[in-house]
Amino acid sequence: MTAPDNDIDLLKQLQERRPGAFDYMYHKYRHWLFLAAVSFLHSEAEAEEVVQEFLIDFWQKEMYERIIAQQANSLKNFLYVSVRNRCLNRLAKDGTRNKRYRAFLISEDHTVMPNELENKELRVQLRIAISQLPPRQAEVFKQAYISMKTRKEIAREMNISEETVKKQIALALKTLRRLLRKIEHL
Amino acid sequence: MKTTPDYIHQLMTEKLAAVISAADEHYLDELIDNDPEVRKKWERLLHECMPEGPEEVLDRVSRWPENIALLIAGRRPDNHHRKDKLIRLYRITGAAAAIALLVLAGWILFKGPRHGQTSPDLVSRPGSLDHIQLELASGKAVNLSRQEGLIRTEGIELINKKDVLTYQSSTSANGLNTLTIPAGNMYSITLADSTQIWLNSVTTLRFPFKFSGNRREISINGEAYLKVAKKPDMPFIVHLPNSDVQVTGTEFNVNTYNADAEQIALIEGSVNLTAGNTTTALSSGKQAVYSEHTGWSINPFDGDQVTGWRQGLFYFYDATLKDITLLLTRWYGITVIIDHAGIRDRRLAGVLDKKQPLEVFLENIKAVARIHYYYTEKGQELHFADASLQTH
Repeated sequence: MTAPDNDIDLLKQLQERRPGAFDYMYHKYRHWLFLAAVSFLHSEAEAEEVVQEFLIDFWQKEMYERIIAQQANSLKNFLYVSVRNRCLNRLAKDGTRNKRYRAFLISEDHTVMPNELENKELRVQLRIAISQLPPRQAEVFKQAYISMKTRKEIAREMNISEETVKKQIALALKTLRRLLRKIEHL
Repeated sequence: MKTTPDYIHQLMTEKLAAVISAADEHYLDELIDNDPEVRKKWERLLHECMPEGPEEVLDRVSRWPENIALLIAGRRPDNHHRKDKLIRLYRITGAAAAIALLVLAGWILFKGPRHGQTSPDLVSRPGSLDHIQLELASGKAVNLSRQEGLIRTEGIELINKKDVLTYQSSTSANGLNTLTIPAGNMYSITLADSTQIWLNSVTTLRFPFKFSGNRREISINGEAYLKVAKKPDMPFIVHLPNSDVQVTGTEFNVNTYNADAEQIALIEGSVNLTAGNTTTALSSGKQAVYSEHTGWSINPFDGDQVTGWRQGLFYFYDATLKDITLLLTRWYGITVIIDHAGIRDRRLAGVLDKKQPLEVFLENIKAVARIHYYYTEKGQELHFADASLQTH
């Protein structure tokens, strides 16, 4: 197996039933899913049970077939929502803990600043704008927003520090905001 | 992406587990910095949910079964698979490196008679041990695949880091401990006298925590590379199943995978070899092979070929498919089955590179030797078949 470059690749390998693809995903995300389950259930033993049962079902019931590889985030979102739902099903039987979980969420009437680069029409204009960035900024930006890689992964691949990745993203966003504002005004 | 409260919660868990994309992390960091409500929730998640820090929680996961097959075997005890049948095709460490091999060079093909039998010709399975194990002289077993870092037991401080074992012993216990490396793993250890030993897959080392008396003695079965600390007054003796190697300080490789051809290759210095009543000296750059039938034979050797395994490289010249099959089981801990007797003795030459994808190697074999491959048991068992028989 060639290590998948991003989650779209990984999902493709899962759907092609490539040997090793599942174990790759298992090692990549099991600790995150466990941590997420702990945040809902407040019990490591229960979280372990929920996540392991989910992973076995994901494999045996070929749940990966249901995911449409639209974006690099699709796989992660599916995994998270599945684990969350299983946790909430457990909590539904336990009012006290359910209340505690709710306390962790930001209240429904609180409006958070939206992630402005998620807008679809913007993506087309974005592509044009990215091409105007300095090459290194453009590369960091693409790895972050299109391949959805972590700071650490980008730093390793481009042989730069994580701090530089962070700064380059901030710089790229600043430039893009300026460029996109111009496009909007045209 | 909709920006729901639950999505923010998802991003927070991703950040804690360090799987968040740089794009989302930038977004979340800005929210935490600028939105007091989000910051409050973030701090609450940190403090209430994992007061010991995320590492504490994540540490637990490192003890989960190594792969999905073992996970299923562990949770569904009534599963019909025996545990020793469930092997991992790929050992994934850290960032989950892909594994594998590559055939580079040419090959020689001796075509055997055709057989169309349905039962497999040869089945090569890894042993049932699935972790690196240290069995102390007292009989207590320590799982070194599971426990990282400092391990205190029976007056010994073991430090198990990145596949290297070092230790400090306050007791004078000089009983023999047994270190076992299963298929698919490699490991190394530094002994009390600073001697370093690199152990290949499917290898057993017996050693004391402290050397006493006027000799240093250990036993090895399998393959190992030794860098023996110089101590002229305290000879170092390596017992192999059929022969002994005596040195004072030197570097050499021992290989006893083939019971009837124990190999000792000397990189530096000189060693004395004993088997039964015969003793022979070996000088650097030479390899001695001992067979109970024909005694010692000494020849020059190719350094890459003998010590390449330490870099995950296996060079082979004139090897049979059977040899390759046994190697794959040893190095990758996988079950490999040769379906047809006719291909077992096909000869190949090349190099396997553990860092390359396995498929590259298999495709090369397919192209050059007309040996087809396929998987069964959900990718858990690798089969080699005669491509000209077209059974698959």
